[in-house]
Amino acid sequence: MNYNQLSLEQAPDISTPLRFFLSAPLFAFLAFCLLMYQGPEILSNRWSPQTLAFTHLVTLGFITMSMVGALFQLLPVLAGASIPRSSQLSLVTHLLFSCGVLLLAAGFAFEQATLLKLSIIVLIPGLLIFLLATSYALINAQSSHASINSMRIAIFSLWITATLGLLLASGHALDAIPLLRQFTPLHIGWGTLGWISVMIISVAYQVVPMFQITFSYPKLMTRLLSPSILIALILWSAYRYTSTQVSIPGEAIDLGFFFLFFCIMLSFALFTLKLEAQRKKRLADTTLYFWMTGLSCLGFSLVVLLYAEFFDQELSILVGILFFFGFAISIINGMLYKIIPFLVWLHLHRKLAFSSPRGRSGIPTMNEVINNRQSMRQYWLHLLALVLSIATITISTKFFYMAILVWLANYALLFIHIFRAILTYRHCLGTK
Amino acid sequence: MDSISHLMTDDHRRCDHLFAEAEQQVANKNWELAGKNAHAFNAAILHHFQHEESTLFPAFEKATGMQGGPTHMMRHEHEQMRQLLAELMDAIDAQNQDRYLGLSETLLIFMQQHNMKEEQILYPMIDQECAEDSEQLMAGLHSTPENSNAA
Ligand SMILES: [Fe+2]
Ligand SMILES: [Fe+2]
Repeated sequence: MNYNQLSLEQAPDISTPLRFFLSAPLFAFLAFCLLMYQGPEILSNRWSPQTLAFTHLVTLGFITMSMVGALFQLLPVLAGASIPRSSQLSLVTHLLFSCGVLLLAAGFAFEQATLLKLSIIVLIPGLLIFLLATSYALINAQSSHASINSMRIAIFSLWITATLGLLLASGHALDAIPLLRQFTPLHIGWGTLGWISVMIISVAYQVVPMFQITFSYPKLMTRLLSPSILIALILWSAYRYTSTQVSIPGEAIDLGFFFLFFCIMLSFALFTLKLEAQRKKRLADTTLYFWMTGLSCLGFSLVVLLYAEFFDQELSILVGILFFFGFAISIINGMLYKIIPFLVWLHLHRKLAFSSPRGRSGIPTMNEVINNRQSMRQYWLHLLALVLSIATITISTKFFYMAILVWLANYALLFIHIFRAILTYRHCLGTK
Repeated sequence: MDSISHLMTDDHRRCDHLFAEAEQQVANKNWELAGKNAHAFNAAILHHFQHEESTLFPAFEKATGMQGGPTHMMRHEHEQMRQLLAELMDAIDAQNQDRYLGLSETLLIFMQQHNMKEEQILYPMIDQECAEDSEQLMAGLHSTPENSNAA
């Protein structure tokens, strides 16, 4: 083992993760502006280009954006896996990725092939830099914790998701390339399960036991969960691919994979909820509420998915809302309220603790960077927006605009909270 | 088989529980018990640092010949946590709930990311490098309980 590679402290500049975190709510805000512009008719066509614009603003612009920022921060700290030149790389990736997502969304929304072509040109280097850098870091990671293996699987899945996505986008943008619609389920499967879910699982392994002071996840579970998702995804992809070549009687096999994913994800949701219920740290904070909401929504989304599969295909929009906004975004949003105040405190502490005349007592604690009461307000908005969105699908589209307005307020408030945290940081540095 | 990793990880968990008990009592404004718990937590964690700095880290440094590497960083983080702990003890003595909970949240995250690095990277290295002396190194953790009364 080469100990010299390891300094255990290669935390990047504060701006490296923060630029991603600050952009995320802006993309979500934009997504709902688009939805507002389109009106409730958008709900009746799941595969319209405008729906694709919305989903990509959310999944790339909010979810992937924040997860990329988190990886820049977490990999060096948790895995002893340094990302070479991380502050320059993050700047370039962030710029290319942001432009790429905007172009992609605009290309879909206005059905402009030129914009789609441009987005492909910009997204390829943007994603490639990030993927190469994290893959390099993960290959060299010192830690063999299950969480790191899960991150490897998540990054591998992002490679696949991105490749399939670029193929599909090229199909939309270029006449020379046929639109291979059979890749769509694979793109969605690798993206939602392999990338988003496995990434959240890998963070949960670390974060839930440590920050809520709970028991650890059982070793067997942490060893099996993410690898079984990976293996199942590979087998399912292989089956899907071959079944388009030769006709295999398929329904049953598809359903088998469906149940496998269902059981894996449900066991993760239920077990994590059980851990949190038994936590030693009784004091609840906003992050915990977000986690509990996220895990419950994951459970609901799976149940609705099961029901939709057999009885009512129309409900798949509800599954999407519960999975993306209820599960993934709740958890990411909750994590932001831990990561951002901590980073602000940590960097201020490093810069000021030994130099400032006011000393360490002048450094705001995490709760003073983003107050728990403030963040709870945003939590309630998030919850209200979720409920209204569910009502839009299940009760009446009358709720459509109300839901969007609450989402817009929600992301404006999240942005303000993050922005204020950055101002606090600047202010403290300025007055030393 | 018992290893240094296991023993030290268990000690982290013990400190975590003391932390949670203290926080709970502060939240309840049960100041008498809160004070007792907070000081017990403070003593336990300071003793843990002390054992690492005076026994485990030097053994690792000797075995690998590395002075400025991971152990240096860990000592530095201990120093930062000692500052936070001192402020935390001021807050408990002043019975200042907001200040205590603000500091304790910050300390918890700092402490957990520190522990994570030790448990996942440094302790396994120590297990590997100092296998011969492990009995002796492990005995040190609980053999000097008088240190834990320092606070
Ligand atoms: Fe330590
Ligand atoms: Fe330790």
